[in-house]
Amino acid sequence: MEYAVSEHPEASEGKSTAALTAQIEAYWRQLGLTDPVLIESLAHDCLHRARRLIGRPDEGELLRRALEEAQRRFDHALANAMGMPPSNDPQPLAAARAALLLSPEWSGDTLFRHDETTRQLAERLRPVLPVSVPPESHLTMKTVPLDFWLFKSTDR
Amino acid sequence: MSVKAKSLGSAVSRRRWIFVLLVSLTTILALFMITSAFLQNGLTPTELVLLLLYTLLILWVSTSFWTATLGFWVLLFGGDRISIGRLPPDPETLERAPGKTALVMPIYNEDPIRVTAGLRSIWQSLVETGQSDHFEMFILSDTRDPQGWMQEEANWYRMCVDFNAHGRIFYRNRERNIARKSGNLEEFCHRWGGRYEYMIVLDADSIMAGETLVKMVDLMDRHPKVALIQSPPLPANQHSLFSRILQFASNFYGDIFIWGINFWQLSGSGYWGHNAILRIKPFVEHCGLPKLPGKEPFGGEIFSHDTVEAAFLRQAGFEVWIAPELKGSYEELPPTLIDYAKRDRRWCQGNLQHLRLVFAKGFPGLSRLYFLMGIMSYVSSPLWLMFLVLTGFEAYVKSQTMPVYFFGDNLFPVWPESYVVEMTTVLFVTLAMLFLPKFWSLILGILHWRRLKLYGGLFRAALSVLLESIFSMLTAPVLMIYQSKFVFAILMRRSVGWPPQNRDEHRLGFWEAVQAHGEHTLIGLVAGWISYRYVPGFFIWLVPVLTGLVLSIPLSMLSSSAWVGRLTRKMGLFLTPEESQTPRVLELLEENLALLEAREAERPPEDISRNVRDPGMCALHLALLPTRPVKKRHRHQLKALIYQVVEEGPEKLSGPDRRSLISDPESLSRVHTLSWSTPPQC
Repeated sequence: MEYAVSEHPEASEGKSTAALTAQIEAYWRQLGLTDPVLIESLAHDCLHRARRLIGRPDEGELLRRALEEAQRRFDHALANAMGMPPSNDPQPLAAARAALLLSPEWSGDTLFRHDETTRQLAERLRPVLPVSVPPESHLTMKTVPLDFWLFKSTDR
Repeated sequence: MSVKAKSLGSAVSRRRWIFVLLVSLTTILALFMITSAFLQNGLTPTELVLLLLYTLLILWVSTSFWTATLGFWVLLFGGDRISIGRLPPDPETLERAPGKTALVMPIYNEDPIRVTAGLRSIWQSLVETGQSDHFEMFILSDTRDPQGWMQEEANWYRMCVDFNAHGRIFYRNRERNIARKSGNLEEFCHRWGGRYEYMIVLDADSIMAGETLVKMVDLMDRHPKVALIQSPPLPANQHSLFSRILQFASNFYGDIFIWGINFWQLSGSGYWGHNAILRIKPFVEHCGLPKLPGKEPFGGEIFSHDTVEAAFLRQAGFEVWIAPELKGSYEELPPTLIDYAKRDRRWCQGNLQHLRLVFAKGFPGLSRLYFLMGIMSYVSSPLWLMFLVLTGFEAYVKSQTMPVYFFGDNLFPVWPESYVVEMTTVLFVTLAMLFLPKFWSLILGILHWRRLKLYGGLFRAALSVLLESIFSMLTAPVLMIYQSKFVFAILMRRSVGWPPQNRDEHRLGFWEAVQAHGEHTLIGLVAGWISYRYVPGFFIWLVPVLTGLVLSIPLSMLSSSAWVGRLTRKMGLFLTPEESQTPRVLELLEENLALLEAREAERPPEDISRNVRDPGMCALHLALLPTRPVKKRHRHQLKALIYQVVEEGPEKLSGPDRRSLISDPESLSRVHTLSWSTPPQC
């Protein structure tokens, strides 16, 4: 990590918080958010909540918790938008997240607007959720045994 | 039996007899001449071995020569009337709808950009035909590299987005690589085979035009007895001098060989493993490959599965055709002589494994002949080498023998008989058989003037043929030494594994060239000195072989250069019709390569955690992972790996360990968060 500790503790803490916030803001931008006000506010909330969760001043742990909080908030907003019931299976939500993040024309800001655009986004996401394989339709491929002159034959 | 089947059956046997007769007569004639020279003073053991070697070699050379010559003959008269593209369709099939077809591309640790660019081009070309409705595409990945795996997934999904092909293009990464490529395809047939009537098998470097794909399905629809149609792939998109020369040779001489193969093989043709369409039901019923008894290299899984699968299909009574009239089927070549040799190493093991299959019960004679031809394509190298060494030895022995003019009660001198004419004839007949196919192609070019223009016109095409002949003459001894080593290593039971192919262009460095060709240079110098010192007469004949060996280092370096390759293109040398008038599907390939490279340039610099760090790619990977419970012990192992990442960084983890981490949803999420908890890797 690149956070300095040789300055006055308060100054150092302020600088460190700025660096952490910047990293969380960068993460939110990676999640497809573009509105700077929204990003700043979400990053601040995540950091605040992370601070409440951990007792000791460990920056690494704080950042990790803040990032987890960002993921949780994003998934929560996405699940709400998509109308997904709470589930232990992470895959349907991951599929929706992938569709949103890998399709260049959609902004993640919409998820936090809670208006008609959020519903429209969900409608447009549903048909493009990743479906990597079609339903299976089995055929059995039996091994063809081979008998040889001069050599041992294959297993039957 | 229908009239069509009867006439086809009689044509098959008539043509095969013609072919066998021509090859046998040529061999017998050449043997007669060489034997009459050897029998001058009785047959020595060395001469006996030489005769045996020459028999095998001349059989091999004349097989290839007559295939090309028959192809030339057929093309002189506008092509063969008996080919799958010209046979009348089965009347009962005229009304039927096109069969549902899967385009399948098995891949293994390939360059994701090139693979995706190829697939995108094929799909776009197919969509442009307006007949893509009955096609679906499958990327069957066996990729082990974790970065490559995630990149392939992202490329697949973006392809679905870009072409609105959700639910039409699929991706699956196999958890375990069982039985390499054949196992990959077998798994596909097992899981999804029931959805499709046909599958078109592509290689990672395959490019096929949409019209070609549609035509292949149409041919299968019209001929229900056909289980496999092989399209003849032409090399394309080559840049290095080495691969451009090979590309020109395949393009310029390829037609006569393909039509020649069709002439005598007809419905009993072979399968080259890709750019071919297969009827899934017979494939599934008859092509389940067994494991050969014993260990690799001769036992175990069958390496060169395609030849065996075609043999199984023919054995089951189905027709297997090559379709010379199908154009728009392309592949790529290794960019350097060394990469070419490396590919040969794998193919050599696969083909030598077929030695056992020659003795398998139940296969028709033709299948055994194909197995032998595959074996001979590599064994011919050590045979040529032995032939050269023994000829040198024999020449030395002869040079030490003093002629005796007076013996017994003879009053007059007995002059030794000269067989220079016979031996020179044998030599020139052999050389003619090697070089005449090139001449046939040039004649055809002159007769088809418009096509010759696409090769740069008569002068440039002729010059390219001349230069290509010199180049192949110089590289042949190097490949002979390489292949002889491979055959020897495999006979010593050393397996090659399954290394991925290098398809990227790269300039060969001096030390790399010295390491690869140092021994060739040394062999050339030593053999040259010995022959010059002891058998000067033989040395002169050996000069072309020695030149190739002595110059192997600069030749290999020069030919690996893409700059020189592009320069020759500018000069109009080694041009191919695809370079003169780029087909639409190859244009698309260029466009897609540029697009994907531009997208790649927009991403953060490549490092070990780049893909895991990307929330979109991470989410996609998570969505595609199969769900299964993780055993407690494995969970502990995964946790230990995560601690290792925290303490030592991800770069300290082995490839399989990184794959284990990203194969588990929980660990993947943890590693993703960790990658953001530290500054990005540089």
